[in-house]
Amino acid sequence: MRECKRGVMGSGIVTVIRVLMVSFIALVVLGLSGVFYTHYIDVRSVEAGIMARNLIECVAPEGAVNLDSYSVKETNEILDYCGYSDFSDRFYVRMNFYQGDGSPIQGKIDEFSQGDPGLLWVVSFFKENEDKITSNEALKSQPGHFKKVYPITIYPGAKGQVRVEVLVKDE
Amino acid sequence: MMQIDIILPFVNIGTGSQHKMRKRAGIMNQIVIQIVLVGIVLAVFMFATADKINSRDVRQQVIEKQLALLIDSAVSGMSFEVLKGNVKGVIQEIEIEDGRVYVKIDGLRSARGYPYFSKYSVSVTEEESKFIVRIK
Repeated sequence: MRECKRGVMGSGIVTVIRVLMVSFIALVVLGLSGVFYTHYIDVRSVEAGIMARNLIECVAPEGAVNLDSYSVKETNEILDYCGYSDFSDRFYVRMNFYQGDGSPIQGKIDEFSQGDPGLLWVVSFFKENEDKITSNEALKSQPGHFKKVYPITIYPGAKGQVRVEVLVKDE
Repeated sequence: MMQIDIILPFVNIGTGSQHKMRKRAGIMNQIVIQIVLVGIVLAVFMFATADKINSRDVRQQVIEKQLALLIDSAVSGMSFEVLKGNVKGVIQEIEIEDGRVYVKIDGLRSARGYPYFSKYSVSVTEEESKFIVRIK
């Protein structure tokens, strides 16, 4: 009977030690991962949207644009023209102007762009491999993307559209 | 003798079942202890995860990005107030440096900050209970 009691106590102690070891290892793993893990909040697409709105307000403040009057036509650098020259390494901006207000549109009449067009390739790569790329670290390299069509009036009074596309690189 | 013969089998049966019951009780005790310990470990995990999610880093990141987005969308002449006693914690300092917003919470300033892209000049002034961010 005494041996049996010792056996029960022994197995109990072994269980407690085992659980303590498991919890110790778990805490070490959690502690180590906690150092490297930070919850990332991605606002780059919102930044792209804000930049698109700011550019539209710069190029067509009242919804009307006179393409001939812009000095941007000489350099084609829309960010410099609108006062965002310091940010051309982080943003890629493309504005395509079309005549006509619906489909089929009558044709592109002008294009302004600035920044690294390689970001377009990165965006298409992430779209093509949407199912395969699941790692959070990899997804951080996905640029923020915003694309919108705005109806505008092209001087002297023709209806038109401007297609704005803004891409934002990692911080 | 007759009496003993009758009683002994009962005694024998009683000791056997008691032994079995004790064994089962021992196993049950072990299982209960294991469940309680596993529960404690899980609770520690849950609290550690919750702590990480609500950590200073995350709160700083949220405030910095909110401020950067407000600055991005503001035009010249605008100003906005940020209360020191914020939902995300007590903000001790807001700094604008090299096109980045830095926020100090719990005595620590964030290492990287967050960039904004305003073409206007941005400044921060501190008042008793709030910070005022001005876009000029």
